[in-house]
Amino acid sequence: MIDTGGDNGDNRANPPDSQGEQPEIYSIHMENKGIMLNRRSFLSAAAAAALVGGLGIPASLQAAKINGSCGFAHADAVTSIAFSPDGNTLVSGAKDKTVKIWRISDKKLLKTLSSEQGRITAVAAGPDGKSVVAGADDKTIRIWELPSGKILNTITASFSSIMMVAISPDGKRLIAGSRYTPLIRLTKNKFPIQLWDLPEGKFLKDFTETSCSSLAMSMDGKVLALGCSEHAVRLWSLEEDKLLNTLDSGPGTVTAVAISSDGKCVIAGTSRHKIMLWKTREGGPSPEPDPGFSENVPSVLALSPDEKYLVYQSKPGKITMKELREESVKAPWTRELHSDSITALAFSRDGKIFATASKDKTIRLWEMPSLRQLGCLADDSLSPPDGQRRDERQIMGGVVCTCDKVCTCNTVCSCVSVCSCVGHISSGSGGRSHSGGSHYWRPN
Amino acid sequence: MFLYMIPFQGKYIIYRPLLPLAFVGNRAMADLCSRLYADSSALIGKDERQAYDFLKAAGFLDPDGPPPASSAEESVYKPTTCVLFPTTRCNLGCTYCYAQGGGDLRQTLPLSMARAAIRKICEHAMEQGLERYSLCFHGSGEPTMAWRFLKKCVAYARQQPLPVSINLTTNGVWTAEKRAWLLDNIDEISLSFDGPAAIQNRQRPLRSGKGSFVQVMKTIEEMDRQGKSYGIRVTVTEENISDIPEIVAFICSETGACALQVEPAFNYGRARRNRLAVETDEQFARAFLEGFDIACKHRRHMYYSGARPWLLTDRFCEAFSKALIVGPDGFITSCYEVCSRDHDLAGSFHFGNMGRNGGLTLNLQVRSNLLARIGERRQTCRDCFCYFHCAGDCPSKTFSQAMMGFPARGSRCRLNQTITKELIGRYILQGQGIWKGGLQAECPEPVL
Repeated sequence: MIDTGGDNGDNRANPPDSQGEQPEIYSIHMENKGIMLNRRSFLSAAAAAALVGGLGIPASLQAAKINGSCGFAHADAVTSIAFSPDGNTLVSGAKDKTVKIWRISDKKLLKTLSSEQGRITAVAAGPDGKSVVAGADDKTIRIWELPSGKILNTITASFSSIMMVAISPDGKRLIAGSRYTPLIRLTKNKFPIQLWDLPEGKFLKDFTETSCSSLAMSMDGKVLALGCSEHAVRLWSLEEDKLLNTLDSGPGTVTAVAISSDGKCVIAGTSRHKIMLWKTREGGPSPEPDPGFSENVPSVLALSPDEKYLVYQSKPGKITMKELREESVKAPWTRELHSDSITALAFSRDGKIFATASKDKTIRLWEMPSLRQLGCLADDSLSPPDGQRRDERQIMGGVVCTCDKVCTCNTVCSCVSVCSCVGHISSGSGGRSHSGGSHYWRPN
Repeated sequence: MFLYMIPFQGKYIIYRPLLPLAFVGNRAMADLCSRLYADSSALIGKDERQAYDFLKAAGFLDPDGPPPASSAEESVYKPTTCVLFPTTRCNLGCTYCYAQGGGDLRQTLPLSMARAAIRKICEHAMEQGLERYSLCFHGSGEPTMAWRFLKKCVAYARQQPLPVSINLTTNGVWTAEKRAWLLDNIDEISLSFDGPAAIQNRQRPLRSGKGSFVQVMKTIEEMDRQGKSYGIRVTVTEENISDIPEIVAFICSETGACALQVEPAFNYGRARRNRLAVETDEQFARAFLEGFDIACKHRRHMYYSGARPWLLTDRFCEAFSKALIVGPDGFITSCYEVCSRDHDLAGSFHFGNMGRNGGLTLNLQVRSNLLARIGERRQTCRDCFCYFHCAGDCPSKTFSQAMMGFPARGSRCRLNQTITKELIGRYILQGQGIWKGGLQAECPEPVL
């Protein structure tokens, strides 16, 4: 029995009368005036067979234990990670004001270093594995000796929070950056990206007047890429100490930048949700076709050392991987790796291990290119209470999200970008019995 | 059972929100779906075999997922989000402001009340075993006008034993000093901004009457430069409905906002006085959808709160269940928009007070009455395909002043239904004939 009705709480209607029709489904197309129904049905067409075939095991309904159990690496959001050049250790920094040194082979925490005051915002590992550098939001750069953990030097910069650090391959030069251009320019330390001598901590030079949000150094230490607010990536030759090129990244600020081992391939994400790629050819760098759009501002991205894979955060906690080989026809694919925003990505030098760090306080290691999880770097003293590990939940792809935020009509609901899908896993639920029949809705 | 047949260009969008699943079929398909939904083992005709195979492969024969059920949690009021209205002062004089911010009444929330509210919310979150609690700064003026108050609250919130996520709803007219501090210390920002200079300056002028566009753009540029995640809320008035596509195009090309919320000005406060409330809903829906298609091409998420097919909910708004909302003189309200004691709906939406010593007095009967009315109203929506999306719509916009009953299904319902239906249609298009939930990544190009 199907209820009938109209408006105001009684708006069910008789079921459609099929009048001898065959059941059909229809596709839709877009015209300038909006979406329109295609005139021909497609249930009996080849396209439908493909669609139905493709739905045989609907990928969107495959439940996957995305993240597995993972203990916390830090007591607060992890902000930065870096592999040592030999790939044996990984350095991490976090808002909990600590820097931690991890051994990759057994995922053991080797050392915890404290910055005392500043929240760690950037880390870099020294080339010989005997030092580590960390920038903090208290405007300081600290250099520690390993394995003793003794502080070799503390540089106090005149600009604001240190957001980026990099060490040259010979370990003698440090590049540190802040995102802000100082309001008051002093005689030295004027600009946000600066070069320092190591380990003495002597200021050597500024790089640019412009505010920059990201930097990356080629593995050979010859080229420095700066992602700046003036719609450009600036390439500096560290050998020749000169500006090599300015790459136009179009509208928006450059939010993240990566550079290949030899400095000949540069990738940048912009605040307009775009990702740009340049390759150096004869006559200088030339823009490549867009590798793609990101659904959010790509604040972190990385290029595998063999330059085969571009990886970036397309949504909070989600990584999109794209194969960059010209002959590749594979579409980019996306996978959820963390339960909160990913803050840093790093490839080991041999490209076999990929590490991700997140606001969810975890650091995870992945095998490349399968992205099979190799494990987590967990500090046992920080294990969350049982049953409170957000990252252990099962997440079903393709389900409609509910939101754990307070969404109102007065605040922009960022559920889609912030929340993960929770609940509403249809398989095995058995549904719930409701009174009443099917609802045939007819608009007013 | 939730199966909806939505008439669509002579056919039907066959929609199961709790799977979710949507596609377009003819009457015969709708009939078959109806039979199979009632009984998945129902006999089918020989001519229906192919359709049956399609439905089986698409998951139509699967049982519904459980409906969202926040209402059960609402009976006990243990909010884990603290919403503070720091001040009624404002540096803008928006033409449609529902709160009439920046008016003659100047109130600032005492810090003692704010601290008590923060403590209370943190306790609730800890009792519930949450990893963090939330703190939001909102109207009924511009929160950053209470600058010292805001900084002290942030510091206090971060001192609590549980981590906090801090959200600020703001007009973005900040000094350089404020900008640097806010971007370092606030986790999420909802920016009220109306787009191109001519529109922003006309609708959201400074108190002096000068335009605010340049100052807000500085804030946006800085947020973009830092890769900050933020959303923009646009309010559309009756005067500029047709500008929605231009506004959306501007925001997509000139800002890095991750989400774009477009809302019609509601008939209250200055919008009522200035006759700027949106009344021509069809025009709004048309312009909204045109803007949506532009946002889609830019891979931006654009929405209107009354039409959210990507969200399953049993409440339009969760403010009254998840939040403790404290007004500038200490009243506790269920709705951000019922933000003064002389609001028409204050008697039904205000359900408590916070004393200067931090003591909280709640009249939970008032809250229960409101919840009951909201629940009753939603029951009347059960047969509407927006049942799990607009979920009965915004209480403060749909309830009558005296709470004596529900307004007849009116223009808001038509607007919500029109946009929801069209969005589902777009999702089906993007899914190449079938939508199985979530937001689609690809954006269809028009066929010329």
